[in-house]
Amino acid sequence: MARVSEDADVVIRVRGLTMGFDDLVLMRDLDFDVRRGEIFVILGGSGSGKSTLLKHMIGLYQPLAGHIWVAGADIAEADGAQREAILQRVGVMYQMGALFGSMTLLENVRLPLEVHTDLPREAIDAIARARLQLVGLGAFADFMPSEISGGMQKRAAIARAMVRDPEVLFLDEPSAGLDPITSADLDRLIQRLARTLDMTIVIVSHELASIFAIADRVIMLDKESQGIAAEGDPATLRDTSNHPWVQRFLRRTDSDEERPA
Amino acid sequence: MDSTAAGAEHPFEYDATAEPGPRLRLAGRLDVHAVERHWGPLRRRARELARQGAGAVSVDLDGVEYCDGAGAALLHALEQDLATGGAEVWFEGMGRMVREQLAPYRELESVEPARGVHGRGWWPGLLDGIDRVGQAAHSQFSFVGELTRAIGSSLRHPRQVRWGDTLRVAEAAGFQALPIVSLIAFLLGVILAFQSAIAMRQFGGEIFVANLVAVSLFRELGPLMMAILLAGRSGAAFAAEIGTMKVNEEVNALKTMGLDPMRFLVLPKVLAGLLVAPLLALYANMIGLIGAAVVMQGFGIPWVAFFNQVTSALTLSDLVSGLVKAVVFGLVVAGVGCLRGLQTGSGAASVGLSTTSAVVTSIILIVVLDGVFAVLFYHLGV
Repeated sequence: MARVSEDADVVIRVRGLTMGFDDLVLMRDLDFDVRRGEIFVILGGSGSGKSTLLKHMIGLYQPLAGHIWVAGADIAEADGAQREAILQRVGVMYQMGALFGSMTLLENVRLPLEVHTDLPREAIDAIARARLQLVGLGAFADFMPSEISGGMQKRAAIARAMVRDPEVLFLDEPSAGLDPITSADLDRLIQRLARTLDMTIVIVSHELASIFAIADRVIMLDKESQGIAAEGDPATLRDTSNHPWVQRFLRRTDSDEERPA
Repeated sequence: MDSTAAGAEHPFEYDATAEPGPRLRLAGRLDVHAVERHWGPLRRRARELARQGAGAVSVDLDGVEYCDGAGAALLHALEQDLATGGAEVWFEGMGRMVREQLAPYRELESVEPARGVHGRGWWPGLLDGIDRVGQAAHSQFSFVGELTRAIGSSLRHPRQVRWGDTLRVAEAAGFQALPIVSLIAFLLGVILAFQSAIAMRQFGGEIFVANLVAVSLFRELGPLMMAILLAGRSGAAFAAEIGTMKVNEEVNALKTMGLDPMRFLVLPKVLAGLLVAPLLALYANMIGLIGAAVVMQGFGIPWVAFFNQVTSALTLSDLVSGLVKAVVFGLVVAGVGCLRGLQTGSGAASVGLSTTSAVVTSIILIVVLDGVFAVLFYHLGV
């Protein structure tokens, strides 16, 4: 398995990644790095392949070409045991939460610890409850996922994703569908995880307010050119990029049309 | 002193001293690996310190380089052990990471669960149970009522029925079931004929196997086997399909668009069930007879003799009573499948429960109804 060693600060390195399904190519030749401890946002319009890119980064999909090194190992070429070892070091929150409907929130959050650690039950319980408290759900530990709202389910899913303090936390649209206050709370939580617990956080999103608030760096996937339209700090991109699509996306203006006076 | 090799330059270590004052010093990586090893020993040590200490124990965290959630759980447990031992705890050198990790554990001390986690006693539980039985009975009666109304209205206004859906379901439940029905019916005919022929041969009455097989298939086994297969194949499919739609709120979407789920989802399936059940039963009877005829070849009864005997043995009432049963079984299987689908709660597990319940309820009802028909036909002289 190929390894990267040039830059200890890079947690995820993507080189020459072409992704898609059979004949349908979504993106060609993507190159980018995610650095340790940063909040990295993958931006793009609907159908541009943001979530697909994330699923490539966690090894759920196989790239058509190229390499993805996660924590030093190429996840695209890893065999079962190697992939398992990589996945031990990451946490993933899926778009719809993907909580197990037959378990309470506490059982959902406890599960990764029960499977992967030898901690005593008392400790597992304490950690899971604290993680639920961290996302503001301490009082709801014994609820079933079906008994709480969609936003609460998302927060519970984040608690489950980070219960083992992963090196990299992948969040697929964490704040989509949340009210502004909950969304802002979530932003603060994400920042807290990155700043104080040194987690690297990769987010797929198109919630602009949230991105400007928390992102250290963004890449913008452009469906037309099948590549990265822009890369950098979101505010700088908004102010300096001369890519028309990037401008339209970040400023939410429609430059093609005359705006009413 | 113990240590872990958690892949860092400074593995976790701790020491406890009683002099000058009771003191617990932790250093290195306080991560899940360290906690796995030290959870028990460290807490025992803390309780000893609390017993020794007169008043206060200081916990020195200056050397802690990293602390994850498990590390914070251990610190919090130590804090509580010391406090319950009567000691006051002084944390020294607590870094920002430790403070952040520890915060939710401390917040939780004052969090009240949003719902009682303990059982509510047997009396409210019993009342709940009775309530659930009542609700289930209510929903079943209202389903039967609505279904009857929908079938009645479809007879008055046949154009309102979604015939396209009905035929699609009929194809899936009927035509696509032919291979398995063929296999089971053929084997049933073979087994029935073989077992009875061995007994009949002792009396030289092999030819009467045809009577036995024909009557038992047409009156009893054909409709029964068909209904059980229909329940396993299609009743389960109806429950799973409607149940998944319920979970995905598609049923609610239908309602809010002013479309009656009964007419839109249930009626096509029930009509398809009514349509295919007698046809499948008839088909199963035929294939069963062929299976029996094949066996009887081996006992020296030619095809023609076998089928002549069958036609003389069967009466119209054998055929009709079997088909009437098949129609009722088809109605029950499709109706129960749809009812269980509509009763689905939320989540993937409840779809599984609905599917299981659809098959189990159908089979129970089929067997019970079969008994009812036996008594009824006896008294009617059919």
